[in-house]
Amino acid sequence: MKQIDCILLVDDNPADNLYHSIIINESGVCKQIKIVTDGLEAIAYLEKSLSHENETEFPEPQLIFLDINMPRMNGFEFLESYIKMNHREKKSILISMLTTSINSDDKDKALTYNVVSEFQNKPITVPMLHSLVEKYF
Amino acid sequence: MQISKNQDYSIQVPKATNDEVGQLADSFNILLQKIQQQTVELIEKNKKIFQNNKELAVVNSELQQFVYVASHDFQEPLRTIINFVELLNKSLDQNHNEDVAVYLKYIEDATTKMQRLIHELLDFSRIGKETPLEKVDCNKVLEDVKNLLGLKIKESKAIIHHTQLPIIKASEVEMRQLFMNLITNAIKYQKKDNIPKIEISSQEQQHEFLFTVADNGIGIEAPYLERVFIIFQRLHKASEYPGTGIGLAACKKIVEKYNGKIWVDSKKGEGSSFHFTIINN
Repeated sequence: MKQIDCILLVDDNPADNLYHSIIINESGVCKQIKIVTDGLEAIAYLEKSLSHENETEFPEPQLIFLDINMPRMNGFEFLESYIKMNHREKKSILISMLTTSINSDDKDKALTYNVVSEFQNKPITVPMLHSLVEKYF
Repeated sequence: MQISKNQDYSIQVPKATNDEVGQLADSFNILLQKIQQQTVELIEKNKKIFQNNKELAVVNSELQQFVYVASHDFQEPLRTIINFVELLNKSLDQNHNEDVAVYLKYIEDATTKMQRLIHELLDFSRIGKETPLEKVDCNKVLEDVKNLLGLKIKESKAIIHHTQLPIIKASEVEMRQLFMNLITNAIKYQKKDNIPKIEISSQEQQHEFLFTVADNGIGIEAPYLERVFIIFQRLHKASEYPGTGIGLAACKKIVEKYNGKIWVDSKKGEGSSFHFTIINN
């Protein structure tokens, strides 16, 4: 089975982050999981990780699971800032929205962003991870 | 002349003499005053009704928004409970504590039921929203519904027939939900081991189409024929026939949105025929 290096979870809900970490570990699709709790933290993480300042603390993620409703900077606002970032490595990062939202407007809006490849509903499942990794890596 | 022309009832007839003509003028003036007064009152009342309608529309949309937000936000904590119960269950496998397994099963059943309720409530709240009218081929809708219900149809061995159905103007999503709920009920409310037989037909009437979904199920007793359409109204224990009591209320809401009617003919033990009308435009 394919294995990627790092998944970044961007979500303000600690219960979800714990559950998703357990499921990701169980699936064995990646070596490490990093967690940030809103869009601002995610941008800060990526700035460090993509400039390879500290690769042990801030490994470069190949896959980002992005929640929509978060304080300070929500998922959509994160995408706006992300697009403006100047890093070539950015291209190889896969972003999947991950939300409770069953609002189809959210889905339509998310998929208008070129950088967004997937729109998944919570929770992450083992089969979901396997098919994502199979499809994109 | 001026009165009838302008519909101005505030004008008074001049009284020239004190004889019978004068008295007539007096009576006529009193009559005019009364009409004038009533007209003013009527205008006031109309304004009031208009105002009330506006307020009602606001309250209605607030209520709709509330149900939407509530059902949406309730899902999140519930999902967390479900996720961790599942994890608990997994870690329990190694310890074999049977009591705890039973408790967890109850939590799981309750949360799953709650999740379904919220989901259906959310769907229900969405029916109120304005949706663009589109041409809907009911034959195709029915094929979609049969595909979606594939597993249920296979398990119950249900036989579903339909006559040629019309193309109507409605929302396809809502028509699918309508047929889906009626057919799901027809499959569900059956005596054990009875093979469900469902006939769907339609008739073109003067201004509307009359649809019928008839089954060979357990039927409904006379006192409940209207009550089945009330939200959360259930006639059976959850252990006999599980459900949320939202399905038929949703059907009613959809049909009434298109100025139609829905009703049921049934006798206990002799199947049910659900009829509904959709305007033909």
